[in-house]
Amino acid sequence: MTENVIETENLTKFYGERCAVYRVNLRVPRGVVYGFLGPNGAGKSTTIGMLVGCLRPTYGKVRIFGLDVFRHRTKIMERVGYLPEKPVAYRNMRVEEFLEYMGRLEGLSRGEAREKARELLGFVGLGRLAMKKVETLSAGERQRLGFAQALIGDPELLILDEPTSNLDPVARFEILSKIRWLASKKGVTTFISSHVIPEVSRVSDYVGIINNGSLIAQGHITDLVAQEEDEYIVRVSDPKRLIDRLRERDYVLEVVSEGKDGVRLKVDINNAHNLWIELPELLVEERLALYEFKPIGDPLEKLFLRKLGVFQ
Amino acid sequence: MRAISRNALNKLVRWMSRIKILTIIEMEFRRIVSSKKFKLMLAIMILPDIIYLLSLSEISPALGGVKVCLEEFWRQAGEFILDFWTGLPAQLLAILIASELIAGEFDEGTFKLLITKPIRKSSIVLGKWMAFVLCMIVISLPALFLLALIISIAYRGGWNALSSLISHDVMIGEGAVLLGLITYGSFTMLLSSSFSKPLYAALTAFTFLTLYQLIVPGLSWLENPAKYTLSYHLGLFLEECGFVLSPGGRLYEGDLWISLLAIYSLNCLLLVLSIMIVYRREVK
Repeated sequence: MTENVIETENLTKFYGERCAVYRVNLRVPRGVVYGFLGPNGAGKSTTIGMLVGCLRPTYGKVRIFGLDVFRHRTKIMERVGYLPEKPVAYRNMRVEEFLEYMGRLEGLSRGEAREKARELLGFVGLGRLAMKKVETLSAGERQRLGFAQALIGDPELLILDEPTSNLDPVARFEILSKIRWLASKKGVTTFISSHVIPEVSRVSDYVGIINNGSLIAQGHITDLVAQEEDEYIVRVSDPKRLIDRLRERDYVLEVVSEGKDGVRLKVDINNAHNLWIELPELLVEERLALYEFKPIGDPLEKLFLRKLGVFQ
Repeated sequence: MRAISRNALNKLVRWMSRIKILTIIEMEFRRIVSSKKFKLMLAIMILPDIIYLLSLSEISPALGGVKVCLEEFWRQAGEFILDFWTGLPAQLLAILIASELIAGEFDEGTFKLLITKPIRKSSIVLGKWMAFVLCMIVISLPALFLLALIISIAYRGGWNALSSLISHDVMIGEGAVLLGLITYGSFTMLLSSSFSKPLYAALTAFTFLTLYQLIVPGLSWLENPAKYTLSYHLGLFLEECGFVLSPGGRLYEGDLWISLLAIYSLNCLLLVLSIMIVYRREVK
């Protein structure tokens, strides 16, 4: 059985009468990117607050690396990097100075912290801003600085609360690529909370979906979306001939014409790869010209919306 | 003996490094020293010295000498310490600086960063408190030193008077000022641990301390009600350490060691309560 880096047991948080998180049982295996999805106000940040020891659960337990977070907080945090939802930094410090301070709080010596700070500023694309004061940074630059701060202690577990907020599309792509690289090449377990499904879908191995404080789905992304059909639009020179050939395939669940030259088809997600192999062969056999081929929607998004009861 | 002390000191420094208190002390000290409040407090602490210097008139040569310098220093330093350097003006500024220690971090949102690092909450509180103490030393020592210098020159005590004052009386005066400012700071830090805004902590501390100092000395049902104020014990400390605050005899009666124990215990209690509050507080 894969070892779980994060384990929660009936994690619950009440604020007075209001229940923010109710009986959440997270299981985050080692070395994966775990996407924690939920709409605004679902309880994502509250759950993360309890994971990092900022909030005390009303009841339930949180274990990271097998240790109780509230009894062994300092020991756990030596191996954890955290990026809060709204990144903060000491405004009057210079960027490199702030990162160096964070490094020293992680136990690095002054020299090690300075060297690590410079390396990370390059990694997140803030190298040229090292001597600027934190208060002069834009929102996106502070987000990158927050990400660098989370990495300063070479963590084994990264907990990132909305890591791509305030970032432009290029920066979002860069950060997500870096998260994926850290997981694949360095074996860093990453717990990302987000409400941006395509991003989670792109980088995550595992997904947990929370709504109204309760965990309504959790598991490997492929297993979770297995029940979700996959849909495509294909535009060809003679859609009718393509429709006839596609209806012979058992992994094609539904195929209808769409407009003048289009075919809309639904395939079984588990065998969607067959379409990628056989469609070119079909097009060659039938001598059809291909104008467009694109997926419709994101299976994870469909799962998410279905679990939230938005559509069935 | 010296080797044992050096060994013990090295062990202490290594332990403080391991629990990262030194990092907190350094950063907090730099933050306070670079703040406008600190610079203002430094200027205000020197103000009595400047006024004293400007008020000095021609002093007859017969009135000069080391002994005269000592007596003048005791009188002036005693007055400045009790009325100004631990009085309301300095209290206010110490409160303003101490109110930001914990509440400032909550207000800025940076406390979340600190407690998600591998550092104990007690180290954070103690480190900030020690940085505050260091700042108070930096603020108060120049004022006392300047007074000693002015008196040594004005009363023709020369280097002998100055060295005698620096080696003993300035240190005693510094001790009294620190006892006062640190106690006010510890109380304010307790409130700073409880509030999320430094302003609320500062207002509460200043209101409470001002009312306490105004009301308690007037409570007739207490025997010698002034004994329940900090300034009384600071005066006792100065007199027991050799300051002659009044030519007419002693102004303060009591046991110095009990006073020091009480002040030390109060500070320890305030620190422990601050740590407990920080441990219990949630960071949203």
